[in-house]
Order: sequence, then C-alpha cells, then structure tokens
Amino acid sequence: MQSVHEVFKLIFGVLASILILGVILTFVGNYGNAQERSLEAAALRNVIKSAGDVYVSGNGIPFRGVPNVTFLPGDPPTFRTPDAAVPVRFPLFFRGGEDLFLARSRLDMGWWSFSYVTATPRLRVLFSPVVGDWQQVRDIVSAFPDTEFFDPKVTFGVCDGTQLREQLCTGQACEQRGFRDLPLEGLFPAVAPCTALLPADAILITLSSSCPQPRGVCLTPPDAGGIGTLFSADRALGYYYKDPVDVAALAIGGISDVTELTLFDVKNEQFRTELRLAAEVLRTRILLITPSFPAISPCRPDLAAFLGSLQGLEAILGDEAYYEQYPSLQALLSALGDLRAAHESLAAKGCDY
Amino acid sequence: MMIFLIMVVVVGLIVLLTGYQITRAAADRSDRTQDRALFLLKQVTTHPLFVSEEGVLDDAKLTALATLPDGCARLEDLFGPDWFLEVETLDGPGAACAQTNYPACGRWELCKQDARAVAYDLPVNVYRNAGTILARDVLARRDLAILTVGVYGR
Repeated sequence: MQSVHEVFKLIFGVLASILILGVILTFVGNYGNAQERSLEAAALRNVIKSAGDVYVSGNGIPFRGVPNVTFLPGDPPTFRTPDAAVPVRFPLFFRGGEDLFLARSRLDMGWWSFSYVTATPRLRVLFSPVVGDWQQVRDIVSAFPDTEFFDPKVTFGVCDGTQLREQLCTGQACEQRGFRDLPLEGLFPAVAPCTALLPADAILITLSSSCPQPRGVCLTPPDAGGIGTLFSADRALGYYYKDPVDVAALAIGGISDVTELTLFDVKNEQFRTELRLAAEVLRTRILLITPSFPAISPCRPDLAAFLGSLQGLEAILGDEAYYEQYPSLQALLSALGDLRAAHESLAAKGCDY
Repeated sequence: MMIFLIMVVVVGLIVLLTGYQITRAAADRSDRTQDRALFLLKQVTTHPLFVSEEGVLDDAKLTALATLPDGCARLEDLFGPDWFLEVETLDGPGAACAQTNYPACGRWELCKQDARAVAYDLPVNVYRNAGTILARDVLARRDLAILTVGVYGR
C-alpha cells in the first residue's frame, strides 16, 4: 500500500502535467492563429504591392489567392483583415473575389490624365440602354478593364427585356474592344427595360430618362452641359456624374456597409486632390517658362489662356463637395474643356510638350 | 525536480518562439519600408506631377513643387506621409532651385527632414527649358541627374 506521500506525489504529478499540457496547447493555439493572420496580412500586402506595380507600369496582371479583406473607402482608402490595415495611396477600384485581374486605366483630359487601377473578379457587365445612347455605352465600357489574354474576364453584353444577350462576338462573350467595335445601333435598334434574372457575377447598368427603382446602377443621359444623374440600388439618393469613370467607380465599388461611402466618393476626392495640385503646379510652371518666350511670340496668348483656365480650375476644386453641386460641375467641365483646347493649341504650335 | 526541468524547457521554448516572432515582425516592418521607398521611386519617375514624359523629370514642375507654400503637405495627401525626394543635376549650377533663380539652378528638395531614412538613388534625365527658337519653338535640353527617394523611419 502506497504511503500518503506517494499518493500526494502522484496527484501533484498529474496536476502539473495537466498544467504544462494546458500551457503548451494554449500557446500552440495562439501561435498558430498568429501565424495564420500574419500570412493573411502578408497576402494582403502582396495584393496592394501588385496593384501599385500595375499603377506605375500600366501592365495588367492576374492575382490569385486574394485573402478575405474588407475594403473601406475613406481618406485614404484602407484594406483590412482582422490584424492588418493597409492604406492605399493611389486610385484603386476594388471588387472582392478570390481571383482578380489588376489593370490600369486612364481618364485622358489632354493636358492631364487621371490614372486608376481596377481590381476585378469575373464580371459580366450588362447594359440596358432604354434610352439608346450607344456612344455613351462605349465610353463607359472604356472605363472598365480590358481583360484580353487574361483571366478572370470582364465581359460585356446587353439585357433586353427578359433576355441576356452576351455571345455577341463570333459566338463568344465580348471583351472591351470587341464590344466597342460591334454595330450596336444596328443590332439593338430598341431595347426593352431589363427584367431578366441576373447571375451573381453580373453588374447591370441601365441608361434611362428616369430611374425610379434602379437595379444595379442606373443613369440618365448627360444634359447639354455634360452632366447626368447616377443612381444605385443600394442608396436612395442619386449622384451627379461627369465622366464614364464615375459610372465605373460606382458600378465596381458599390456602397460600403461600414462607412456608407462609395468608391464614387473616393474617386472624386482623389480626383480633386490630384487635379488641384496639378493645376497649381502647372500654373507655377507656366509662370516660370513664360519669360523664355519673347513678347511677340505667338505662344504668349495661348500660355495666358492656359494660365487663366488653370486658375479657374483651382478655385472650383477648392470646394470638397464640388462633385455634389451642379454649378460646380458645370464650371469644372467648362474649365476642363478650355484647358484641353488651350493645351492642344500650345502643342500644335510647338510651344509646349 | 523533473517537473521543474520540464517547466523550464517549456518556458524557454515559449520565450524563444516569442522572440522569433518579434524579430520577424521587425524584419517585416523593414521590408515594408523598403518596398514603400521603391514604390515611391517608381511613382516619381512616372507620375505627371513630376515628369514631362515617363522617366524624364520636368525642372519647372520640380521647382513649382519645391516652392509651393504647403507643397510637402499636399504631396503627403497624395502619396502618404514621411517620405522625401531629392534631385541633383550632375552638371551645371548646383544651386537649390527657387522661382527667382530658375532655370539657373540644379537641385530640388521636397519634404526633407533631418531623420533616418531608407532611400534609393536612380540616375534620371531632367527636362530643362532652355529658351525658344524663332520666338516659338521650345528649345529643350536634358540634363543627367541623380534622383533620391526615401522613406523616414525604420
């Protein structure tokens, strides 16, 4: 029969073993979780790094194995995992998915171009131009990425009533260039409002004179000033839009559940920040280079016109809410038009690059 | 005694692994700083705020950015905080460029601070406005310069 001491030693040994095992298992569990989150954060940084490389090089790439991230529109926009938050310091239109195609697109204004990166999974962009402005459809298509030779694809088609018409390019779904080159006016002389059931990877863009209960994104045609109204199914209020990139930003990004901001808001804020600085830099540049032109130089009037338009643009973009106000947008489009004309004149005369 | 030894080994392993994680986190942070510096270098050589064409910096744009009252803050709004840029031509006048001595200058600094940084150097061309021909056509030349872009903090 064992003594009390022996029994005590046995019980103590068992308890100590349970404690040691508990400590080991807890540590291993925590360490394992930390490693997993660290890998997720590293994968997220790789996505951002790849998107940044696409932004500076202009060469599109596919990216596989994207972690489950939350994209928060803000200043700056941020990607979040449970343990990492990575700010994005360039215009990025992100739509979640495990496999993405990263591509750079540009809004060319002549004197300036606004570049942005799109990160998109497999997307089927379907147009329902009830008001048949096919040129506007083509312009919007140009704002989406060109996925030719890459995967995942972004394809384009038409929703005509209950029918989805997508196999329009020699029996295949159309990518950017193929869809733009189609004789859409002849193929679809009239389009009925879309009532078809849409697949999960589809984005519906409707062009109509009114958008009472939009599915997807709905826009009214631009007026004589070049401004139209844009509606999303997720939000009661509409937006003014002034270029096709506004439409693409809202269509790709949707509305954040967390911040209630949209990529549309982010795009316009980034557009304002960049263009305002560009206007000021170019204005100073014009002041610096003008003295090198003699007083009789035919360049001087165009330089003065360019300078005046830049000053006007700076004033318009001084207002953060410029994109929510019709008069500001009207003035903006007018200034951008004047700048394009002045820049083209300067370049044509050899006064500037 | 045996239990004590086992506890020592277990605690030792925990300390070792924790130390490894801390070291790896510091290495990751250093990698991120280097990646950011490299990305900023690529941005500066391609972004129209700085260049006349890809890979060629524009001296008038650099002078404008260097002399804007809140130029550094405005650049930080676009490209993020805690970074700097320096351009120095290899030939010609080495004076820091201001609006008063343009174009007879050859050095530009943006957001420079007296702090430790991770930086990359790159030889670049700088588009210099050298007057006009026939009162109209721009006479431009390209000077060779060294571009330094860095991120503060390690």
